[in-house]
Amino acid sequence: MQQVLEKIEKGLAALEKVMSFFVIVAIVVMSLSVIISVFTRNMDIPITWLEELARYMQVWFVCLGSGLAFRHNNLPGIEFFRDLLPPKIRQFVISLGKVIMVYFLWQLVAHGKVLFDHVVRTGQISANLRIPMGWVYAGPLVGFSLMTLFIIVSILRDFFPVQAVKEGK
Amino acid sequence: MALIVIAVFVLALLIGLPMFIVLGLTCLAYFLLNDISPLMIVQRMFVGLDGFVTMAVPLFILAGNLMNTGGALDRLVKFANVVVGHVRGGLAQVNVLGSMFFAGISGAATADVAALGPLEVKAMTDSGYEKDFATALTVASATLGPLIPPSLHMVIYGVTVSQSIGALFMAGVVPGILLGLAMMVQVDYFAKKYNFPKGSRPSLKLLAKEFIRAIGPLGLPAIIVLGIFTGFFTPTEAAAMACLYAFIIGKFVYKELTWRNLPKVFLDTGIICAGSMLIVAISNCFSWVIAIENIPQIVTEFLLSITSNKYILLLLINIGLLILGCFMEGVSAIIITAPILVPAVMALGVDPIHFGLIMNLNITLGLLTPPMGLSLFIASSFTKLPVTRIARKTMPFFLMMVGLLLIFTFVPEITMFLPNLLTK
Repeated sequence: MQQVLEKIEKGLAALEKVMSFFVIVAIVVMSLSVIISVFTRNMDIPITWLEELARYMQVWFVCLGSGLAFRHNNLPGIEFFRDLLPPKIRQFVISLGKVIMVYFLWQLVAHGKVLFDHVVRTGQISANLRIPMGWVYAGPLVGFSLMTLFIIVSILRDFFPVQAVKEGK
Repeated sequence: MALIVIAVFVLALLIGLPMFIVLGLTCLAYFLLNDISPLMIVQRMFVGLDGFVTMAVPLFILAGNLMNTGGALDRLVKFANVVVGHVRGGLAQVNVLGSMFFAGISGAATADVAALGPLEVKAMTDSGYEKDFATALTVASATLGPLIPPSLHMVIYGVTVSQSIGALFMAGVVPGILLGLAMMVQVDYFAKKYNFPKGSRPSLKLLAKEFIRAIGPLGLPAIIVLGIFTGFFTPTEAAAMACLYAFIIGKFVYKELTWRNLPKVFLDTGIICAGSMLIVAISNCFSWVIAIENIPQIVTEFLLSITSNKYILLLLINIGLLILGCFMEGVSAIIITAPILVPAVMALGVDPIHFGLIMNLNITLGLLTPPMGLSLFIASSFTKLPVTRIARKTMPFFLMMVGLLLIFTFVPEITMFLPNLLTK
C-alpha cells in the first residue's frame, strides 16, 4: 500500500503543477481583461466580452485553486475546539472531517454534472463571448473532482502514515 | 426540522471543517429536509463565482502581493522612519505609521502582521525595545489594515448585503486615521513613561529623498479612493488598476519584480483567494436560505423584544460581534452575520454603511484576542513568544480601540462624513 501511495502522490505532485499553471494563466487573463476594459470603456470603445471573460476566468481559478488550497492547508475554518481534544480522538475527528468533505464535494460534483449536461444538451452559448457555456460549467466539475481526489489520498495517508514505510517492506 | 439544520451547522463548525464546507453542509441539510434539489447549491455557488463585484477580492490581494514582492514594503518603512523615527519611541511610532501606509496597499490585517511584522519586531528589539512590546504593538497596529482602503472586509460586507463598496471604503478613511493617531498618542505616553530610545533627526534632504522613493506605494490608496470617488472606475476596476500600478512600479521603477518571481506571486494569490472565494460563493446559497426562512425578521423581532433603544441594541450587537470575532476569521464572520443583522439595524434607523464600519472594526479586533486571534498566532510563529503573553501586552491598545469603536458606534458622523460627500 505504501508503494502504491507513493506512486499516487508522485502523480498528484505532477497534477498539482499542471493545476498551478492554469491557476496562474486564469488570474493573469482575469486581471488583464479588467484592466483593458477600463481603458477601452473610457476611450468609448467598450468591448463587452472582456468582463465576461474575466468572470469565467474567476470561476476557473477558484475551482482549480480549491484543490491546491486544500493541499496547502489554506481553507479557513475554526480549529480551536477540535484542537482541545486528546490527540487520538483529534486525529479521528480530522479524518472523519475529511470523509464528510468528500461526501459534500461528491454532492457538488454529482449535481455539477447534471448542470453541465444540461447546458451542453441545450447548447447554451454565453451572451458576449459566444462560447458554449459547457466550458464554464466544467470549471466546478473539474475543480471539485480534483479536490475530492486530493482529499481521498490524504485520508489514505491518515491510515498509512509515512513512518510505516520500513515495516511495509 | 430547523433544529436539525442548526445542529448540522454547529457540529460541522465545532469539528473544525473548512468554513465553506460548514456552510455548504448546512444548506444541503436544509434542502434535503425541505425536498429541494441540491442542484440549487451548485447553481447558486456558480452565480457567486461568476460575480464581477466579488472579483475585487482576488484583485486587491494580487495588488498587495505585487507591491510586497516589488519592494514597496522596505520603502514604506524607511519613509515612516524618516518621518517619526527621531522622536522618543521613534521605532514604535514607525511601527504604527508603517502599518497605516501598508494598510493602503493591503486590505487585510493578517497580511500586515505577516509581511511587516518580522521586519518591525527585529528593528525594534535590535535598538533595545522589549520583544513582548514590539510584537504586541505590531499586532495592534495591523488592525488599521481593514479600515484604511482598500479593505477586503468592506468588499465582502458590500457584496453580502448589496451596499456600495465605494461608500464603505470612504467610511473607513476617517476612523482608520483617527485610530492610527490615537495609537501614536498612546505609544508616545509609553515612550515617555519607559524612556524608549530615539533615533537621530534626518535632514530635510533625506526626508524628501525617502518620500520620493516611497511615493509609488503611498499614492495607491489615493488613486483607488479618487478613482472610485470620481466614478472613473468601479471598485473591481480600481482593484485591477491597482494591480497594473503595482506591476509597473515593481517591475520598471523599483525593478524588484522579475519574470522569475512573478508566477509565484500569481500562484500564491490564487491559493489564498480560492479559500476565501469558496466561502463567498457558498454564502450566495447560505444567505438565500436565511432570507427564505425569514431569519432576519425573527432576529429583528427578538432584538426589539429585548429593548427598542437603538444605542443599547448597538452595544449588545458590538459585544456579540467582539465575542464572535474571537473565534471566527473575518470573511466567514461577516458572511454569516451581515445578512442577519443588517436588516435588523436598518429597522432601527442605523445606516448600513455606518454599520459596515462597526462590524468590520469589531471583527478585526477579534484578531487580537485569544483563543482564535489569527494575528496573535502569526506573530507568535515568528517571534516564538507564547500567544497569551503577546495578548496581555496588546491589552492597552485593545482597550483603547474598543473605546474608539464605541465612539464610532454612537457618533455616526465621524464615519459617515466622507461617504455622505460621495453620495451628494
